Order: sequence, then structure tokens, then C-alpha cells
Amino acid sequence: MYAIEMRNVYTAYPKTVDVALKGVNLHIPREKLVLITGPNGAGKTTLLELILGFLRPIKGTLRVLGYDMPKYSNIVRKKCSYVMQDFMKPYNTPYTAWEVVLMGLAPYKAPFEKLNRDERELLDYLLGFLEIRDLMDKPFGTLSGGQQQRVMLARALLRRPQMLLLDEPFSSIDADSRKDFALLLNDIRKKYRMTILVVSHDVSPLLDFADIIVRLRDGKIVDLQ
Amino acid sequence: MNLMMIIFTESVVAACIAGILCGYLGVYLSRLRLITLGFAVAHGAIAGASIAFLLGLNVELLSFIFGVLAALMIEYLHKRFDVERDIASMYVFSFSSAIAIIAIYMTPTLLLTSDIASMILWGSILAMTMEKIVFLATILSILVAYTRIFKWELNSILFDRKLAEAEGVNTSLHTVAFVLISAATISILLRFVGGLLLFSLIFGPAVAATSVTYKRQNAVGALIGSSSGILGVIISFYFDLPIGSMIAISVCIISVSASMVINVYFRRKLRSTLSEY
Repeated sequence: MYAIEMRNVYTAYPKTVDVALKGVNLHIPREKLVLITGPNGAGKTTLLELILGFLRPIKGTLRVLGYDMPKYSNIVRKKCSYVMQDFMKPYNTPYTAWEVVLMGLAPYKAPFEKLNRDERELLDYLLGFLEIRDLMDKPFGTLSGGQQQRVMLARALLRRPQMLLLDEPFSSIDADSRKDFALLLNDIRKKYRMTILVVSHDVSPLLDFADIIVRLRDGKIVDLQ
Repeated sequence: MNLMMIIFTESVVAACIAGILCGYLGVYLSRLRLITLGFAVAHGAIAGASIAFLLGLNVELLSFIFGVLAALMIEYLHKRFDVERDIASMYVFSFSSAIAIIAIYMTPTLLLTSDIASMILWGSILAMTMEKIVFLATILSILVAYTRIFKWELNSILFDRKLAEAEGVNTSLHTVAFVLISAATISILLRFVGGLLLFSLIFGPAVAATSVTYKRQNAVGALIGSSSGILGVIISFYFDLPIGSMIAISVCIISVSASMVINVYFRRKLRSTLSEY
């Protein structure tokens, strides 16, 4: 079964006449680590927004985790986690890192429902795994870019998604830490058996771990390895 | 207790509850970036009240309906035609203001000079009844309960609306809920504070709260709102001035003072911290 099935998909942003993705055919099996790369304006982020149902296919068909999109986008969104490119927040953001992590569970929780045992165990593991335990009481906005990114990753993983979508995950990480982060993603993929889609300009840290590499240019797939 | 004292007491209680409600609500509207939408809803309510006044219908009911219609129109333009909410709000605001002015223009002069007309536009200390106070308290209770029940979903939207949507939070549902609560609040307070200045009671305390603190903004907004309301009523009562204007002036004075005090406090604290080095 495929995580993503795209057949001849075209899409465009609202109020534009430019077609952002043109005739994309892509079949991604589950539990793979997929690297999506290409120059600026190639359609990388557009592809993620299409998968999450923020954009509609104007032609062609799209199925994500077996669901037709965008019809079932609400179901698909609850089964996916997304770490956005522009996740950084200003210093006066009124939430601690702990609160930001727990917000990820909002769509699944009934009012006043607390964390269950599995979630507490997973959270405890993630805080250690991502080395962010000491940051939890700090205001989110006062953390560095790399720390905020790890917190956002903990939020994404606490949701136990079937698919994790990361948009430019290396943008806030210094060059030395990028390899470590790539190793971390590979460990996550193996441990949680999830499909991971990474959009990045910088392919080098993930080249050793990626199962599939998709190169986009001008809204088309120009290379698929 | 004489009649004047009863009116004064009821007005102070109403202003206190209205201030808490508007301050608390305003912080959410402000942080959800629904300020212009709230502005348009308020003017939709004025249009409804003006038409009700012209046709001799129930002012509160029609202002509530028009407030909701204004919000629905904005959401329709936003969802169907991808018009930005702020821009759609300005269209609806212009349209509602025009309708309100046409309705007032068509109203017979005798009616226009009556107390009811001035209540809708400028507000009146006489407009609050025990019934409306209970209604306001009910809206406040519903709002507080709602924000407690959906605390995590609302926090998620307030943190990052697009991320919340991407994670499967129904952001439209919560937007509609806040619009309905806003429309109900505005329609009840229209005669008390006046349509032209009601907006300042909703957004003045909210803007002050979000600028002076990043924790417990709702509580600070409610505190500034209630103090402004009470101060406005007292000044209006003793100097026989329009209540809406007095509340708006109080909002400005208290909000600016709060910002100044906090600014001075942090400067002094920083200076004392630096002196330790």
C-alpha cells in the first residue's frame, strides 16, 4: 500500500494563473524516507501543501494514506504531522516549550482529558531522545532556532503520525549538527515505522539515508531515484 | 434605595460585567487576528439596530441577526472567493455603515431625536436592565467555559493557525463560535455603550493586555475592561456625559497608563539587574 499516490496532478495557488505543479506522477510506498529537492520555486513546499489538502488538484488524482484528497483532508491531517519551514516564533510568544509540545495532541483529546500512560512514556522518551528535557519550562520564543525545531519535532512525533512532513528542516541548524539531525530522522523512521517526507535544498546530510530522492524543477519531477 | 441609586448600581454592575466580557473576548479576537472582523460585526449590528428602529422591531434581536450576517458574509467572501478576511471585513463595514445611515436618514425626525436613537449611537446609562445584566453574565459564563473546554485547540490556533489546521484542528468552527459570541455581546451592549464606541471597549483592553504581558492576557484584559467600564459609568453619572464616550476615554486612559507603568517597571528592573554586574 502506498503512502502517496499522485497521478498526473496539476495544482495552482488561489488567485493565480500560474500552474505550480504540472503533471506530477509519484508513488511512495509506506515507511520510506523521501527527500524532495530542487531550486527555489520548483514546487517543493507546494507538494507538501497539496498532500495536506491546503491546495486542491485542478487535474489528476491524489490519494494520501489511502484517502482521496482533498475530500478526506481532515482525516489525513490527523494521521500526519507537519513541521513547517517558518516555525520560529518571537520572544513574547505566551507559551512554554512544554505547552507547545502538548498542543500537538489537541485534535485527539476530549475536553479536560489528560495524557494517558502511553503518551507519557512516549513524551518522556522523546524529551531524552531529542535532548530537550531541560528546555520544557522555558518560554518557547526564548529558545534558539535549533532548540525550537527540536521542540516542534517532539510535538510532531508525540502525535504518533503515520507520515511526517518536514519543510526545510536544516534551515535553523548549523552545519555541524545537520548530520546528527539526519541520523536522528533515520532513527525515528526505523523506530516508529513512519513515512518521512523531507523537503530540503541541502541534500547532503540525508543522501545516505534517503530511500527515494525526488528532484523538482519548474513544477515537474525531473529526476526520481 | 432611591431610583437614581438603583440605576447607578445596576449600571456599575453591568459595566463591570461588560468590561470583563469585552476584555476577555477582545484578547481572543485580537490574537486570532479577528479585529477587523469584530469591527465589521459591530457595524453590522448598528445597521440591524437602525433598521429595527426604523421599522419598530426588536433592536437587540435584529442587531444580533445583522451582526451574524455580517460575519457570515465575510466568511463567505473569504472561503468562496479567497478575499482576505481583513479586506472582506472592510467591504462589509462600508456596506453596513451605508445601510445604517440610510435607515437613520429614512427615520422620521421625531423618532430620530428620541432617547432610543441616541442610545443606539452614543449609549445610555438608562439602557441596562436586570434582565440584560443576567444575559451578559450568561454570555460571559459561556465564553469562559468554552475557552476552558477547548483550551488546547484554541492554544494551538493561537500559537499557529496554519499548523493547527495542518494537524486537523477545525479552525473554522472556533472562528464561527467567537463570531457568534461577539455578535451576542455587541447586540446586548449596543444601547448601553453605543454602537460607535462599543468597539473601543472590546479592543482597547485587549490591545493593552497583549502589549503589557505575555502571560494571563485574558485576565489582564478583563481587569482593564472592567475598571474602564466602572470608571466610565461613574464619570458619566456624576457629570451627566454620554456613557459610551466616558467608557472609551477611560479605556484609553487606563490602557495607556498600564502600558506606561509596565514600561517604567521593566526599565527600573533592568537597571537594577545591570547594577549587580
